[in-house]
Amino acid sequence: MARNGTGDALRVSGLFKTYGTTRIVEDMSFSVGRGEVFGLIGPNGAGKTTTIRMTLRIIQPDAGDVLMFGKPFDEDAWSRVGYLPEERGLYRSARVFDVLVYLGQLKGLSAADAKRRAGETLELIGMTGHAHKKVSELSRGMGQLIQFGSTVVHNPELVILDEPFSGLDPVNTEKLKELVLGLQKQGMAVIFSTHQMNNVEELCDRVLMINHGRAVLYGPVKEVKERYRKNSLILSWNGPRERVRGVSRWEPRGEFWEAYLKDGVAPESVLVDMVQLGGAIRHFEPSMPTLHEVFLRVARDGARAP
Amino acid sequence: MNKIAVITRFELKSVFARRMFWITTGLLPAVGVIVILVGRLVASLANTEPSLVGYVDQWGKLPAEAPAGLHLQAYIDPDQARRDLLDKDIEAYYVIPSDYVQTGNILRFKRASSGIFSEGDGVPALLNSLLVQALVADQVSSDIAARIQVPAVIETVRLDDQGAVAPEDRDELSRFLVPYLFSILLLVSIGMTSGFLVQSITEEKQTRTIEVLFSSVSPTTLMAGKILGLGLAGIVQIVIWLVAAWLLATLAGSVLPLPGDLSISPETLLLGGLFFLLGYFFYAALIVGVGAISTSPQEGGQMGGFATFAAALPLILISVIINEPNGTLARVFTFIPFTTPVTVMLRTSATSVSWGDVAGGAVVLVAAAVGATILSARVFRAFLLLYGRRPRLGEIWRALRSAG
Repeated sequence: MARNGTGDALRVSGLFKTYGTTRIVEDMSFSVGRGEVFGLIGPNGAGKTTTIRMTLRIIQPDAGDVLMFGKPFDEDAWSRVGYLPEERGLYRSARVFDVLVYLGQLKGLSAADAKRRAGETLELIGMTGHAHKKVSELSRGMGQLIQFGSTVVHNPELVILDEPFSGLDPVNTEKLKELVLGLQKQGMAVIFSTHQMNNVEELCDRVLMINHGRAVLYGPVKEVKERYRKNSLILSWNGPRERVRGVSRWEPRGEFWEAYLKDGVAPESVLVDMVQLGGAIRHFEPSMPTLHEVFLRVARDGARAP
Repeated sequence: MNKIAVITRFELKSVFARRMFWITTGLLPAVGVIVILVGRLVASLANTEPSLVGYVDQWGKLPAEAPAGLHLQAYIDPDQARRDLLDKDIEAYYVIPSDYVQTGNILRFKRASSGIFSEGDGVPALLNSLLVQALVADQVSSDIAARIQVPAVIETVRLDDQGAVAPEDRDELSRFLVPYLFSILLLVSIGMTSGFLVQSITEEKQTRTIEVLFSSVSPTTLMAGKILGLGLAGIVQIVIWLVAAWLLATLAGSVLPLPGDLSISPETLLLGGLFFLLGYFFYAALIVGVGAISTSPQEGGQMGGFATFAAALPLILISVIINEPNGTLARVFTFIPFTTPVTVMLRTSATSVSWGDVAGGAVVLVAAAVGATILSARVFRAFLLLYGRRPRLGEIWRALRSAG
């Protein structure tokens, strides 16, 4: 299977979807590169799931184009994509191994390959011992991991995970993150759709932020945060704060202080002042907004993605 | 095609893995065994062996010796009859008095301890026949006496639609039995399969498996795999029942004709098989759509019940269709896809139906099956991702009109 090839794993252009008189998705465009971890973020009801469903042709867009691996979407593309829906579940009375084999075969694997891959996948997610249990006998967390296994059992080139961490405890959340990063190392492209933006910051290279069905932010995570960076510093220093020049105000941030700089003042000049004034500098970093803060600002300003 | 086969196998395997499937499949033969055992028990209690009954003829017109092999015993001496009754050699005896012709009275003697199933609560048919014969013997000719005994021997002449004498049909039983069998099989298949289909679809909806499937196969492929897999499961169940019924009938010593005794024309088999399959696919496609808009297996099952009722309508109106197989109702039913399969089977069993009607019915059914598949696929696609509520009529209408 070709991995890390040239071109995009997914390219979406001008997608529209309306139900009745409600426009769910409006003029949505983005691309996901091969081997990239991409975040599709936004609040609940923003249009993330509808966008994903349209890219996979689960529902038909009213307008727009989807290119999967450089080609218009066809049934062959399904065998190259793994999808973990937000609303998910498995046949409760079936055995774990049988479910993985079945879903693998539906993705185009032969019966023998599906059985081999089901075994490998169970090993990957650390659930080989549960292969012959019924799905109904698994705990919720185990069920979630099996769901993830069923998404990658056919070794796809693009994996789409819609709210993958919902319902997971912290231990399984970390395990799932490790698995995702492992997939990326193998060259899989991963799309994360979530409203939990802290996870996206940790894992994603680039993000598309959606609000009310429209793309409001699009680009590399660092760039997006840089774009909305405030002119302030996060400090831990026991020197005389009132004597530092160029700071308009200080605000406590837990064990730190946030120093808001006056227009035109560079962080370096503040650092020089602090060194000259003496005292122990334990922490000094330019303040970067979280994606959550960026989203709140964007939503408030009603911006659109460039 | 390969994915359809994968889904078919999975659905079949899932049904066979259900304990409930085997319980319901085994229930019917079990009921049959119980009925046979109870029947045998009742028969042994009832002692159905014809009992010997005596008569004492004081009228003097009955034969002095009862005809052989008729379970009748003539007595001259009433005391001897009484002794035989008390010794239980006979079940009862009748005394025909000398003034029988004037009064019509006959005395019956039976033991007080006789069982409720004992003979002799009415005049036995054989004694009755002897009395009638004796009454008219001197009054009418032997021919008329015979006619009084057996007033009519009916011989049937069958006329075709043109009034000509139709050739004698020696295989009337098989001629009717096969279409009936196909009709019943179709109804049972629809009933069984609608249950399986609705359960399978609503389960995938409830467990949220459906969206995973839709990211691997098209709704049409999923539908086709389900219809084939669950249809096969239904057919397996029916075959088990038929074999069990055959074995039970044999065990019960029934005189039911076995398939080997039936002469089934290739034409009947072909028509039965064709309309069975077309009817099955039409209804299965409809039921898939019903399953897609149902919120629970119970609700889906109720809606599927209406489909079974529609298919059974011609059987409910069987007397009209059999009496007028080329009448207006029968012909109209032939061209309504819901009633086409059973109607065509019943009509062709009752008379010769024009090939135009048969072909027309088949075309209507094929078109309806294709249409139902397309429309159900649209409903399937639109509403299988709608969780927890039933779509409104307007939404269903929009889905049906969508381009798919």
